[in-house]
Amino acid sequence: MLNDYLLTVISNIGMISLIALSAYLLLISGEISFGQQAYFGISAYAGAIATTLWGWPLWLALLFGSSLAALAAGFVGLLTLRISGLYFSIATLAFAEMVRLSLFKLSYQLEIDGELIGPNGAEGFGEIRWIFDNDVSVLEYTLLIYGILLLVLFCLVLIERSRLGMIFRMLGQDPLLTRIQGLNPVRYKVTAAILAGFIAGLGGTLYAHSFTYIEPQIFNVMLGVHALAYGLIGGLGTVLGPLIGVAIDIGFLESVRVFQGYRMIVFGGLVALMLIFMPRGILDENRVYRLKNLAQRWFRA
Amino acid sequence: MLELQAVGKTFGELQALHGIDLHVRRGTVSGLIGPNGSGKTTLVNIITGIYAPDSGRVLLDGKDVSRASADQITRLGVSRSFQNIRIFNRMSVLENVIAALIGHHKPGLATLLGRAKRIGDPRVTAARRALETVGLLEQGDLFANELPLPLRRRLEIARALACDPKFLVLDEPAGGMTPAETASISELIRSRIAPGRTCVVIEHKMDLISHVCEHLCVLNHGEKIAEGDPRSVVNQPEVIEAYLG
Repeated sequence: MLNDYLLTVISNIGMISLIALSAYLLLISGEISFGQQAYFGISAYAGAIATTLWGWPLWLALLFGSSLAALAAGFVGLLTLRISGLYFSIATLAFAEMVRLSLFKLSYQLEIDGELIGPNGAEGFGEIRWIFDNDVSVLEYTLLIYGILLLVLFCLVLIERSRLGMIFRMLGQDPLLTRIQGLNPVRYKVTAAILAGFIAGLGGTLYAHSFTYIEPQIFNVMLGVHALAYGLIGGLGTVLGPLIGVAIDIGFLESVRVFQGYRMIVFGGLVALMLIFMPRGILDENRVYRLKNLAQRWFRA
Repeated sequence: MLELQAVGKTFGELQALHGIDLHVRRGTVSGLIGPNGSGKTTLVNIITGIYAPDSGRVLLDGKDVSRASADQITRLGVSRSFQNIRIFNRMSVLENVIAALIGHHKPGLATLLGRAKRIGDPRVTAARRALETVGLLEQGDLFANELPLPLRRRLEIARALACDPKFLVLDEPAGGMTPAETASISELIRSRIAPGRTCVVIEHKMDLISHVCEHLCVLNHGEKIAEGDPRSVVNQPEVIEAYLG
């Protein structure tokens, strides 16, 4: 029987995978965003407000939080259309910090059962009790997280096989050449930003309800850096890449006792080594392509 | 069909093009030559919408496209290759050519969400046909960055050719090639690419130009110094002085 600690680690892997997939989508489109934690945070707060203060069902809160995150991501995508590379990264980081600092100022509390509940600046937002009020066990909530993660993975696999996915990868390699193929990069850059914002948003609302307490400090730059690093470690050739990155960090480094206290050192070193020796991760485009060809030949045989 | 009227372009203090007039007739292959820095690539970048001219007009089938963006120009039927090879390195050879066929007509949601390499898809068929034309069909499943330079040039041509463009611009298609490879690409352009198409070929190699072009235009310091039949143009004293030394 799985104990609650193990289940928490597993569900954490699932939720963080969503923000990693969000950063991955932008990475394959050629943009390094240090700001995906902003959309994770926006949705965490919005989703938690929706269930806790407004009494909405979780599915509607998920949709609301993620849509709000997607809207914010689309807005940032539009604002950053004329910049790329380092400037884009700095702009996304600046936006994420604006969001985090704004959350320190956010105070929206309602009296529920004689108690003031809701986000209150640096004190954070506690009493996000949806899972207790609805008698949802840790196992059931973990299954919900993985159901959503599988759905997102399925959609991303379909996108990767589609012409839209091909355009994202074209953009990631050469935006001018993409334009010369008759495609307006603006349209696809904003589309990628919105999709990435939505996916990060799904993770955010799920996170808030899993931990029942959130505060602005959770959505700091380290969350965004980790989200990026997962794709860079696991590989940018397939949607499974970021999941491998998350599994290595949370599933291995954070959970194995021998690494306790050294996790960030080992993780940082790992990222540095990967960038030197495998700059596009373990499962990069070349390896994935070879593996696919190998699998096809094997099936034919 | 393609007409440039007094096209000028300046970069800071540098006047890259001075009022260039050019007329490329339908179904002909025109050559554009000139020493390094003479403005050839700037002119091509203006024709293909990467730069907008500072003065003058670019007319495509009589329509003023001077202010159109590069993607709009492509959708109007203009395709090109690049002097410095530009391919999608992390995609297969076949995918590189399919890439050119997605944006040929502005794609709607259904097109975007359709499977890129679906068997039987007209884009895949057209891509295979283009690869066959340039002799790259067997390499279709290779990663583009695995191809040697001459085949990368062919891949660029296949990509430009795939959507059956009205107007094809080849920017140094034999750049970096040996004489034998140049002869091979020259024959490919003459026998399989050029017939029935309107093309502009930018090249330094006179063998290729004289083999494939019916009309030649020479640029020097951003000005047109000669134009006409290739054999007579290359014998003009100002061309010999400026370009051939």
